[in-house]
Amino acid sequence: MKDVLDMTMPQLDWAQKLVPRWWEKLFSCMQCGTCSASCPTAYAMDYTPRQLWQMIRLGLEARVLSSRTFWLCTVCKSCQVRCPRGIPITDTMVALKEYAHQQRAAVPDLFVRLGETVTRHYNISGDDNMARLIWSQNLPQPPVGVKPLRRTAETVYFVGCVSSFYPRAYAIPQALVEVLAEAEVEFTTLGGEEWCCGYPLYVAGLREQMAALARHNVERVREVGARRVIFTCPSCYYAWSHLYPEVADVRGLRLQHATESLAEMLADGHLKLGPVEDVMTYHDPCDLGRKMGVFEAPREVLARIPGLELREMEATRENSLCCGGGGDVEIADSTVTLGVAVRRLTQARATGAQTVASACQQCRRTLQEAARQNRIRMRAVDVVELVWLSVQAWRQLAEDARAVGLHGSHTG
Amino acid sequence: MMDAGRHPHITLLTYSEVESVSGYVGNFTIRIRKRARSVDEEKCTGCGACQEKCPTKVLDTAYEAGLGYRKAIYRPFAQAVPAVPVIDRASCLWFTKGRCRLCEKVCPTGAIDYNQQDTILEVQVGNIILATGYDPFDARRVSRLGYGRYPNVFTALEIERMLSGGGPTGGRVVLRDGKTKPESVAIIHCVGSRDENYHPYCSKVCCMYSLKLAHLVRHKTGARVYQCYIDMRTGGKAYEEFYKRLQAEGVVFINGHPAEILQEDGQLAVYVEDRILGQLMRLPVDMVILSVGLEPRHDSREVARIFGISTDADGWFREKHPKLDPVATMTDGVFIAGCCQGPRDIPDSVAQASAAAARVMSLIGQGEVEIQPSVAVVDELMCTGCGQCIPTCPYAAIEYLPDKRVAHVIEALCKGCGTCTGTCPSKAVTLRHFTDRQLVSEMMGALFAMRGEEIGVLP
Repeated sequence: MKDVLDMTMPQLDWAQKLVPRWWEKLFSCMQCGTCSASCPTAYAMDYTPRQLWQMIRLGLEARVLSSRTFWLCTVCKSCQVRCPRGIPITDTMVALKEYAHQQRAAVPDLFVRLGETVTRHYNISGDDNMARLIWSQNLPQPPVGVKPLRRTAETVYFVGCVSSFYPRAYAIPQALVEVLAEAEVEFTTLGGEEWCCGYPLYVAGLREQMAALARHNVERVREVGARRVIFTCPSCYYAWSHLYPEVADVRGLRLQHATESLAEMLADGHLKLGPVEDVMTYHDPCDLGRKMGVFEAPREVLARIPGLELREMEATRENSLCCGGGGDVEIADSTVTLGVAVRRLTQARATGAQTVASACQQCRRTLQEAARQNRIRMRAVDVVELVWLSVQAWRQLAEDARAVGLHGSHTG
Repeated sequence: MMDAGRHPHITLLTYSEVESVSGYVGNFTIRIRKRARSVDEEKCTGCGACQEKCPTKVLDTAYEAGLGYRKAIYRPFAQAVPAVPVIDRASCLWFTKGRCRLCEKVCPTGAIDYNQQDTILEVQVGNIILATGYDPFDARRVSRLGYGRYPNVFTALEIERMLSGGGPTGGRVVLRDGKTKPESVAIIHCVGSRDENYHPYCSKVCCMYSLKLAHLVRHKTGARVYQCYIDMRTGGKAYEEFYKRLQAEGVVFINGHPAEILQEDGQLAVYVEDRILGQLMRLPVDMVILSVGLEPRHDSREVARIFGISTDADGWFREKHPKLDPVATMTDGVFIAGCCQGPRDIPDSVAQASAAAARVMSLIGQGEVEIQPSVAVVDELMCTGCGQCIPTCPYAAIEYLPDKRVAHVIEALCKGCGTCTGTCPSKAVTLRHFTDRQLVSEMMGALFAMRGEEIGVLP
């Protein structure tokens, strides 16, 4: 049944309260629908993003706050970069979550609990934070920087919560520390002193709680005298690059995603790579690609691995489709996350590749989980893992060659 | 065009470029580089034998929008005036490899001249009308719409060529393979227009040409045609009626701008939200037509500089007044017409061109121009000839007289803005009727009146 909206007392200034910095831009929306059609999760929303803007303009506060639209935003920024009116759409989605928290509106329980977990345990999983290096336990010989930690180091590897505590992603930090050791990079991790970067809180609408985490992390990195921080998690990388400057002093620190560091090392010839025979496609993580502008580094790295054939998906680079795992949507409605992931896997499959490489532990987890649950014969890996495989392949080749050489000298 | 070419009072200089303009209204000197076309215009009869025999085919990215070919010696299009062809020296075999000369052999009048050089002409004119047109927006820039990546995504101009009976497909609308008729077509409006990422303005003509293309494509192919639009802008005589006719013909109107076009299962899939229903849609189609917007000519700023006029932020030529003087510019004697000023359709361009011509005619008819009395004047005794005023003048109205070693204001060009009077370090320039003494007196009067108001002496 359709009701008649009573506009006797319209709250036309609500947007000014909600997004004081850009409400004029929001008002300039021409309702073209580019945002809705770009949105990976719009299909599951009760109102499309476009409809939400009109509701905000009309000041329909109660209706907007009871909608689940903004809780399903993956913060992939696909809408924001395409918006013909240049409206900070994704930022508005985050602002809505913040507003909902402040108004104690219908915030999904798990979003409240996420804030509590992180402020109490300093990580998103609620595990004991001192167990941060649990992923390194089954490394045959953890390199220095992992065990033991270095007291001073030029480079810090900031592992991130997902890779630290979710077994499905352990392989990524394992691979990176091996590769760094192989390239003789003097690095350290922060062990139990690494706290959640705060990005999950920011996208949950709990930006205020991020500041303390940010300051702690920056202080720890300064303590070891590091000048460079390497991330395997694009979200940590994004937070440090774009959110930290507002609350902490990150000046003078060189922030790099692992793929950027690897591309540098490979260009310098620091690493030798052996063949990895596979046909694969590369999935651009939103936080690394669209939001940080890193499109080339991971592709450069993949191109340097002998035997690897890279096939691009139809939606790629700035037009890449989110895996569904961003923006804490997984805790709002995990079926939506998997729904998006299946769509992305279908695009990946269409290239004929068997493997989808990403440069993000969350993309890898999400895609792998969707493939498993839907029996899609597709493997998700991280670029860093592939590099480690390739380094091992080269070692094997070198060893074989040496064996042949030794054998040759005996007979000679 | 033919009439213009034949008119005894019109000299047509094609394949020529204006290099510099000096002077002022009624007294412009224009330096024109007449490029070497390698064909003697006096001897050529326009028979076309050279074009026919030329062995070198070149992809025609200009007139045929990249769908057809021309020869290395060619006319831009069949009806071009004058009918004299030009040799494209970058692709001609004689100029690149030093052999062939076939055109020379077949030319019945001996008009081919490989040694022709650029010539410089200087002409004196009283008035100038600029009608330099526009460039179509390059759809490749909107990567999400797939132009240049997917063969069956076309621009409107490509379809326009296909629809022409004399065009590269002989009037058939076909997919990029050159033979398959599309069964479904989506026309996407506002490509490059109304978009802060590209051009914020509305290109004005695309709604109507999209409707026209929809009509013709349906007529030629019987395809199902979708129009994906943001707002349908059909202001203009009989335009709304045409829109209504298209609706009645059964064209499907989808109110929403597509987010992306992907190739899926061998077809193009258009992802769009129908904003009337609030419904997300996937439209599988055989062909996509992008209604690209209009943008200023790539060299519009350079041309504006040469003619001493200005452009707006987008690069369109700036008119003297957007409402009250839309065909004149801030430089007297220089007028603008058509899309060089901003996007407009044919009727508007024709009207503006007629207006510009009328303005010029009235100036010619009067035989003299009135100028404002408040112009700057240089006191030659005080001027040190430092030249600081010359670059500050926005109208290029100050010249340096080397024999007297002083600056001199060309009164016909001066607009009395006062920039030079403020700049001159030795206070040698004054603005007539706005001298320092006059201004101070004016201020005194105004301030006295204000003070009077405050103390309640004066009303």
